[in-house]
Amino acid sequence: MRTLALWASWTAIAALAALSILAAFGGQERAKTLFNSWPMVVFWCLLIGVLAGGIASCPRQLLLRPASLAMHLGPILIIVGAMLGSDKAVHLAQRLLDRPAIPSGVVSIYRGEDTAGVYGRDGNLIGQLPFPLHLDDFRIVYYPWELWAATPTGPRPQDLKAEQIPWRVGHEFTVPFTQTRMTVLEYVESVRPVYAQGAAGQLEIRPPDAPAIVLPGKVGQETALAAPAIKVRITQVFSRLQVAGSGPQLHVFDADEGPENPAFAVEITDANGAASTRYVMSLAGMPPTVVSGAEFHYLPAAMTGVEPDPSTGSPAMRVRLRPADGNSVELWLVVPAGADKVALPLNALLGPAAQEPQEKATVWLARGNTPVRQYQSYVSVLLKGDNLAVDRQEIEVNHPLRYGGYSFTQDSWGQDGRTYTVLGVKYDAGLEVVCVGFALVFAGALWFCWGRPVLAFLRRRPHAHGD
Amino acid sequence: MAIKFSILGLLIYAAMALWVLSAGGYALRRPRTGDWLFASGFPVLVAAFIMRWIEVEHAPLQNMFEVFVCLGMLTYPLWCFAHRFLGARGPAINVVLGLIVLFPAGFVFHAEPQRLPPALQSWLFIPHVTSYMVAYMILMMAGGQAALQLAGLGGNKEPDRLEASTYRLVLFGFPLLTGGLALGALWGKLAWGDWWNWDPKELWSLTTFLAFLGYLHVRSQYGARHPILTSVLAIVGCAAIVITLLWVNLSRMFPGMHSYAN
Repeated sequence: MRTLALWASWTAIAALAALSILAAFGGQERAKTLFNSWPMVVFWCLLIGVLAGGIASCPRQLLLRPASLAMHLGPILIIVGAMLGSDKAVHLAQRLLDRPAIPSGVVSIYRGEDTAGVYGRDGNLIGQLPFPLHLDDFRIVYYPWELWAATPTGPRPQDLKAEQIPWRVGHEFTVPFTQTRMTVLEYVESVRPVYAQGAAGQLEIRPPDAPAIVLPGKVGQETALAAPAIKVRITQVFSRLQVAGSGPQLHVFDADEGPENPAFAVEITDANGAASTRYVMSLAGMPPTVVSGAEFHYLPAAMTGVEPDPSTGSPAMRVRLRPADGNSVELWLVVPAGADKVALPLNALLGPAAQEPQEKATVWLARGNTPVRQYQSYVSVLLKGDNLAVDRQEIEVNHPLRYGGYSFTQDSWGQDGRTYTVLGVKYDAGLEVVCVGFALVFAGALWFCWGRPVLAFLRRRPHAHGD
Repeated sequence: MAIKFSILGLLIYAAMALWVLSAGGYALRRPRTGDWLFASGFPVLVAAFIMRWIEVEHAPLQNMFEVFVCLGMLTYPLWCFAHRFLGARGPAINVVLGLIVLFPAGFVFHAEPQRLPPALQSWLFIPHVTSYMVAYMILMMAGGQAALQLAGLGGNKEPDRLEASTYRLVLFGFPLLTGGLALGALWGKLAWGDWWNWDPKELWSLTTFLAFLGYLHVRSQYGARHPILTSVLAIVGCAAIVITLLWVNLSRMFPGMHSYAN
């Protein structure tokens, strides 16, 4: 029987390794489907049998060697715990024991709202949690953005030499490639610009071969161009233009929250009387709207300052520039909504104070390659049928909420006019059994591999002091 | 491939140069010279590791470049431990192992500093990765001993000693491998909601674990009576380590949740 158990165990190890390799080539989803399929359930049961058979074939030796016993018992518990927590087992328990539970899924909650619906990754509703969850708030914690200095080294735009500037608030440094000293006075990680009372953007129209026309950014403002022969009228002013849907269901609206996205809706009527609506946006990097050769630009209002706004994710930095020969200048570097950098050309700013070396140098405030430090969902668990919160917790990546036999992890987030968070849901059946199994395997490996040899070595050492 | 013209790159190249000379010393049967040159690479790599830690403001274990610099740094101290306490032989093969590990760090992997993404903001980051790094180096050294034994290098008694040192090295590395797997399961539960997600990296880690489990199973049943079989199993385990560490991370064939290590 011992020989049989040995050969069965080696076959099982080899088979599991081979299946793992095969499944790795198939990808995560296929591997999950394979290892949770009914043939694999049979395999897992056989594996439990092999491990139990290993224990049964030499019980005395294993009892004298607790490490070996632990390393056989541990995997049994891991497999049993995994099977208890599997989708199949949870559904079976639901049917046989009338224990309603949702094995896994995602919950999507808008800020300020509550929900109990759990959905699959395919978007289909799976079931309802026994308790609603309320999203009190959602925040993103950003890493500080990076400061870079760049200077041209040749005639082409890409001929640049750049150097990153290590910065901290209150610390003065020399801007690379220049003689200008710079101090970061203030850094706010997520802001929105503040404008003077009544200030608004303007619509600038640049006809070909004609001076530009500027219209105040108000509904009803209109003008007529000679070439091209078009009439222009502002029909809507947006603070947070957002787009939902596509094709015939395309819907453009002004959102109540979210990042600033100022824009105008402009009605353009041609010489034949045909009218169309075009949108002129202020987003950095957007190409201008062009109609019959005329370019339409959004001119932002003059900014008076900034206000913290966690929803934008766009930072601002107040700096002081002190050229080698000239007066200091203080200003805000504000990243436009949706942009990943903002430039500060020193010569344009310092004017006559700009010396030769910094004539063409530019300072950039740029998003790093990993902008987000953490996602935080502030969630309350409510009593069903009541608004009373029985638990309240901040969920971050690596800090899940555990309640009612479920784990809720920070999965993702989004905005469609309102901010929402997506939490992963997992029913923790069998988790404690798995934990004990892993602990047994690890403790067994430690004692078998380290403890026993060290003990044997210490026993073999000659006794000291003439014992 | 690209040369890194930075202080960090120069430190890596300096360590590689010292180890090339060390390998030359062993080849010319000047073991003391080889030992000194092998040892002198260690402080150079410690300096590189510390420099990187200061630059990125977190433990430099995030991407392939940092992991391989760490593996290079661990080569000499783990060799000393393995030689002193586990009977490992053949320093030259471990110098070559260190060179193999440093080469991609010096010439292949991108060294651009990266901040830790939210998934790596965990107290488990250092113990999970470190456990695996030490385990991998020790088990690769075991593979080196097994390779020497299969190649028949050494005198009449050497094959037995090499077989014994292979076994001791695997014994030392296996709990670290198990610990890495267990910590990874715990971390997966905290970060992704489930302790096992069938990610290709997880499946290959399991394969590596099973390979060495098979080695220990055979070895504990038959002792040293089948040295060729156990040596082959140790080398198969090393092949699984190489695939888990390199192929899974670098190949587009295995996209998964561990992609931040690329």
